[in-house]
Formats: sequence, structure tokens, C-alpha cells
Amino acid sequence: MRALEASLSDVLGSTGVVGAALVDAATGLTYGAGGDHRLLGPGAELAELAALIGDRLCEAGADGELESVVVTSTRHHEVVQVLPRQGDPLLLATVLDRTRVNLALALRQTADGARGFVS
Amino acid sequence: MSPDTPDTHGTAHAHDHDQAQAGSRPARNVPAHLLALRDEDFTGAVVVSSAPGGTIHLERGLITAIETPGAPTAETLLLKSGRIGQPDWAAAETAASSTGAGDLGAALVAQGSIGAAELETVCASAVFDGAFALVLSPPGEWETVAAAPPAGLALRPGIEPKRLFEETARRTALLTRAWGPPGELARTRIRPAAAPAGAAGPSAARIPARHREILAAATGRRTARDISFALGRGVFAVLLDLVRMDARQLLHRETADAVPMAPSVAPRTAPGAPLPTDNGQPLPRRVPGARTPGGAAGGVVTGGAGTGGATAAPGGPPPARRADGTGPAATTAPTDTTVTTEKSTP
Repeated sequence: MRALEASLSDVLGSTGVVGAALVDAATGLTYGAGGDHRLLGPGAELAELAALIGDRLCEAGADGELESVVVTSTRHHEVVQVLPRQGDPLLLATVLDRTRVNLALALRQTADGARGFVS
Repeated sequence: MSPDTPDTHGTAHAHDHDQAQAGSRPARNVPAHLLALRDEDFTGAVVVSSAPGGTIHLERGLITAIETPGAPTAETLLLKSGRIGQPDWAAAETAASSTGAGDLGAALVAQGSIGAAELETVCASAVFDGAFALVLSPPGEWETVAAAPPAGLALRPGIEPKRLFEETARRTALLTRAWGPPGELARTRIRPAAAPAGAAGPSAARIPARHREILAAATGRRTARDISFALGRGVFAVLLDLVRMDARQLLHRETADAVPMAPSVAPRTAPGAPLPTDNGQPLPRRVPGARTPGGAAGGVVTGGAGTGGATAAPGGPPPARRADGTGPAATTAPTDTTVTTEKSTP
């Protein structure tokens, strides 16, 4: 999966990104991971978390689809972005160093990087 | 396929050719055989002949594609989901064949139909889904083919067999924990549960879009596999959603035995038995307007082919249906019995 690894390397090259993983949102299959991605946990748990949040939001009457989940700890931001496509979506999960990134900018940056996966 | 599910059925055994290739000891099951082929950097295919069975493509011992009737291939995922249109697909096939290399994936990427990274994710998901589909049924025999043609869309480099087994075991364990035996769920026919009165409004809107798609595709005659083919999604993904939907009581499950199957097209006479003859009589013919509104009157003129059968009493049950094959006479009773039933009423 050379092209996928190249796209993942681009994401890892962004400022403050210390780990990244690309996961299937439906099955939890991890297509690729790099850097210090252990903080993200297994891909299956990420998919389960995203499905749980998305489904509960829908049940609660929220319009639209889940876009991202941001978990903040004292040292890191863990960002899970949903990459919609024709078919089951993908999840791009990144670990960001809080001391080096502005969260809003990092979200925009990784969203740009995500185009390498679903363009 | 999973190492957790060893072949204990006594039906699987290595083909003679396999035994010669895989070393002195024959492989115990397909996973062990794939691991042995990985050590050999084998390129070719392993054809599994269980039901549904399939073909596992390998390049240098890595699994590049799995083609099985039990799960959609990458091609089906791309086309049925609408990710790639049929004209673009045909154009890529033409381009791939004209270059001589025959690399359909490269042609699809070159013409801009899909990105290389996304194509890799689709191919990888098809491989894992194919492996999962293979373990849903008892293992059968297998055969190693060195000169097998490559798969239409292949993942390069492929997937390590060990990783494939681990993921397959995870999927099987997850479904078993959440619902029960995955094979049983995969064979269950699904239809939407009857909505309670007044539930079609706001609550219907609160069902996630992918669940609504499954509900729309669940006709009561389709299994999870059928739904996955119809929607262009993986079998495991559909099963996972079905478990979640079942927990929300959105589904009605029917075992395969409870649903009438499609009408049989098998011959009504046993093989070798003499074919029924009409004794030179003309075929039965309906007379327009002869049928009474009561539905039991005979409107059939026949040459007397049916002479020894059931006689329906006036006002009795309507005659058995033949054209749609839903009546018992469609598959079991001979034709002349049906004719007799229709004409015998005064």
C-alpha cells in the first residue's frame, strides 16, 4: 500500500503531528499507521467510538453527519476526522502535540492532508 | 481461516500437489498452508472448494486479492457503491488491455477515476472481507495453482497472512460476542421490523443514513451477503450494522427455512424416467368468459388429459396457482392434476 503510506507520511510531516492512523469507519480495519499512534488505541475502538457518537447524535435529533471527534489531554490533542466518500467513510486519526500546535489550524491542516486519501 | 478456528471438520486435506509443494508435511488447514506459502514466497493462487469457496491470490507469499461468491470483490465495491461509473470502468479496462500490462488499477488511477490511496483501501477491505466470508462456512478442500491468472484488481504489495488471520479472528470474535455465531446471522434473511403506529415520522429520521439504506435494501428475501452486494459494502460491515440495528429493534429476522424459496425449475420427472406424453391430445385451452366470478368454475377445455384426480367441490378452495409458482402444485403435483381441478367443477 505504497500510495497510502505516502499520504500518511504527508500527514505525519505536518507541524505538531506525532502520530496518525487511517481506519475504516465501518469495520475498524486499520489501513495504515505511523509515528507514535499508540495513543490512539486500536482502529476497531476508534471506529466503535465514532459510530457510537454518530449514531447517538442522530438518535438525539442532530442534523447532519459526524465530522470530527477531538479529545484533549494535558499533553496531546487526539483528533479523529471522518473522511466521507462514496461507500463507507474513512477515519483519519491524529495525535497532536499541544505545545506545538494551534488546534484550529491543525484541524484545517489535517483536513487538507486528508484529501490525499479520498480524492 | 483464523488460527482460532482450526479445521476440525475432517473434510479439509491438502491436495497431493500441495503436499509436494508445501514440504514434507501437509498443511493442516488453509491458514497453515498460506503461512507455508509465505515462507516460500509463492506466487499463484489457492483455490478453496468449500461452499461458497473462492480463490486466494498470492504474490511472493502475500495475499493480493480474494475472489469468493461470499463477499463483494473490489470491483463490485467500486461499481455498486457508485464510486466509479460503468463507462469509466469500461474505459479503464480498454486502456489496461491496450497497454498490454493489464493493470486495471493503474488505468483507473491514470484516468482520474479514483486516487491511488483510496483504491488501495478498497482493495484491502475486499481482501479482509473475502477472508471473513470464507470462514463463515465450514472449510473444504483446497488446491494450489501456480499458473493462476492474477486478480482483476490486486493490492500490491499484498497483506501478510498472519495479519489477515488476526483481523479475521477479531471480526469473528466481535460478532460472536455481540450477537452469536456469525455464520448463522449471515444466513438469516432480513426485513424491516413492522413500525409501531406513528413511528414513521420523527423516529424514522433519527435512524442513521447507512441503516436506512440497509432497511431499504432488506426485502425479506435477502441475506446480509445479498444486501452487501446490492449496496456495494462489505459483508462484515453490513453484519455489524445489522447487529446494531437488531439491538434497536429495527429488524425482523427470518431463518432461511421460514421463507418460501423461489419456484423450482427442476424437471418434474425423475432422471431416467419416461417423459409424460399427451397421448396425442391437444393442450388445455381456456375459453374467454367461461370463468364465473366465484372463481371456482371451470373455464378450461381439454382433451381429457386429467382423468384420475382430485375433484374440487363447488365453492371450495380456488384452484392451485401455477404461473407464479407459489402453490404446491407448481413444484410437486403433475400438470394434469391441476387441469382436473379446474375443469371438474360444473
